[in-house]
Amino acid sequence: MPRVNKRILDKINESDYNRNIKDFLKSILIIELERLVKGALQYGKEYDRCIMKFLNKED
Amino acid sequence: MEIEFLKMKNFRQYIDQKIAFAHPEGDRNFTIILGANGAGKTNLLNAITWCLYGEELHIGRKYKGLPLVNTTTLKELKPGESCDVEVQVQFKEKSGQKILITRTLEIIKTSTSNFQKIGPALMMMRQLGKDWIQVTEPQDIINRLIPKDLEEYFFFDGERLDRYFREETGETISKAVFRISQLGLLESVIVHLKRKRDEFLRDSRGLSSKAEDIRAFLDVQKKSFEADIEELAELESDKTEAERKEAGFSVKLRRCSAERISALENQRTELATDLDRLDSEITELRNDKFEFIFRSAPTIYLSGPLLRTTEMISAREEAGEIPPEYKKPFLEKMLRRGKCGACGRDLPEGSNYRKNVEDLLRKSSEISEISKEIIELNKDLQSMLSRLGSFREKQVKFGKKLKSLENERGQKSKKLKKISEEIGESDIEQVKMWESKRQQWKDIKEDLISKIGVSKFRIERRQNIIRAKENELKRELKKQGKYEKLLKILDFCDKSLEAAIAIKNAVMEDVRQEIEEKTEEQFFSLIWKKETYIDVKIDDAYNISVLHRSGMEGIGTLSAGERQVLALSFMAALNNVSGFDVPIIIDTPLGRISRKPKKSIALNLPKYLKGKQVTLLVTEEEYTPEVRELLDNRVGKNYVIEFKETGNGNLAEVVLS
Repeated sequence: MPRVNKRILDKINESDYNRNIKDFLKSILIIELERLVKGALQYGKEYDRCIMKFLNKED
Repeated sequence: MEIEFLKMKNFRQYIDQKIAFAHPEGDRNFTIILGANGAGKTNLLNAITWCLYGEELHIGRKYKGLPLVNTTTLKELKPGESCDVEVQVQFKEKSGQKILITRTLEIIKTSTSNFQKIGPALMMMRQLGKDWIQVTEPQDIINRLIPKDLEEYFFFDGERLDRYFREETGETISKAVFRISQLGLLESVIVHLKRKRDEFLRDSRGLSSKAEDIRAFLDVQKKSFEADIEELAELESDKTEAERKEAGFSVKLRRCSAERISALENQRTELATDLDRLDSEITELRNDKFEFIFRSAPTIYLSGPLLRTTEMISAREEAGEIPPEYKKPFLEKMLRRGKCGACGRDLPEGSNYRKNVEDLLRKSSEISEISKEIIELNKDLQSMLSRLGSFREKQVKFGKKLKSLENERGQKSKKLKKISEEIGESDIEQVKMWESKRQQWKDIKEDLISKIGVSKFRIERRQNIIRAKENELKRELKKQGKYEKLLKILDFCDKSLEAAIAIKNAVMEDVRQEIEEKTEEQFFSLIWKKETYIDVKIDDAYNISVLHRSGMEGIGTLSAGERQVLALSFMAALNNVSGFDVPIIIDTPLGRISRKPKKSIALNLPKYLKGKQVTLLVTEEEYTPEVRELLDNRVGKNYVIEFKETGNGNLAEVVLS
């Protein structure tokens, strides 16, 4: 079942950004996809949670 | 992913219909459903979209407002009877896993001309091995399989294709590209990350400036504090020197050969010692007085209400209302013994005497605890008030003692002054000079003492300020920890934003190029005037141009058929780049295309859509013998819609041909 477009995922994977930034972008794209599917308007808390999760990994 | 079958029950003109579709694997990936105009081809598309999204997304004017229940079935129902409108679509994923989606609407006939709808209800079953399980939140899963707003790129409508490049602008096409390639997701990520970053930036600004301001203020205060300490040390040193000099002249005067001067100087030394002692006693007494007033202040302020409270309690006590007349244990003992402890009367069960005692016991139980607490409270209040009574007395005592000490100090000061004057008026020049010098150093010393007092006060005040500011800084530093974390967050957001923007631009360019290439490739494989047009271009704003061999923009000169081919090429290209593995259904794909181009499309479309499950809903006019022959070896399922009009409504049946 397609989730985030493979082309976008490929471009993220091929890019020179560090692994954590790549994983963060993938996670945040999934959040956006879920929002789109569910028609949700809120994003703040999910973004905060995701930013904190990957920020801790950055340390 | 493929559609295995579509089942319809009482949906529009279909009473009970099941259509199996060709498999995408192999060469025979095409399903042809042939039907006359109005036979029910588009309603097959509508059945699928109603099943998936609860809406007939391709409904024509003819059916708008009509109930989707089959009118023949509805008419045959008697009032009170019901029937179901049901559409089932079974998908098979590449993994072999099957998904069965069912949407049902219950119709209850309430009278000969009215009916009531219950539903529709959506259900999704997913195959897991040999079992089928029901899926929760089926609409979410459907939107992941085939997003509703992308549906038109999988389930094409020939009429819509014809209008596509006449109606759509670069902006709307760009939106379509964004939707289909999920660039919209990246765009949302960028917008939301920017907003989050701005929020964090606002937070960090508030935090950083305050901590920095406090730190700067503390730096200034601490420098001043060090200067104050240095100044105090200098003053202390000067004072010691002044004391030493003063004492030196005092010694000279005491050792003076003139006996009178020597005696006066000795007296003065004693008086000075006494004055020091008195000063210290006066200071101590003043502190004690202040402490006493400070401690007594709350009682003084509350003396009025306290007095009234004790008066009220005492009045109740005097009236015998508290404590209760009889103690609880005494009454309990009387009842236990069955004899009155006061008068010796028997208290038999059920007697009025016993009832009186029991009544007393009950009342006593209720109020005894409260009474006890009130009595205790009254004792405390009275004790406080008695201390208040001694306040004036003590304050007068303090005043008297202070006055006495101050008087004593005043007298001794006067004596001291007299001695100094007498020595200063000595007729011995040397004594005069010594006394003058001693007085000079004494004045200097006293001035220094005063300065030291001010300096100490300033230092203490600065110390308090520093202590308070350091506490504030500690609190801010805690926030500063948050600030540093916020800086990290900001840095992380910036990096992520940069990455998201770069990836979005890269994907956009990639998608644009691919759509351009595929549209061009498809267009030139389908188009019949291969020499007339030389290029298809899609610019950054997604404006499509078809370059005429003259070098001029040729999109405006395209015939209806050519426009339809261009739209079909573009839609297929979008479908290709979407990354969604979804079957393609095209309704009347060749409606506006003349004979020669039809042949070209029939020849090239299968090549272009190899590996995809393709369903063409066609009319006899489209599906000419020539087209049929060209597609014959690509068709896995071939159906004809048999349509008939009855007195009760239209009926259609899809049958294999």
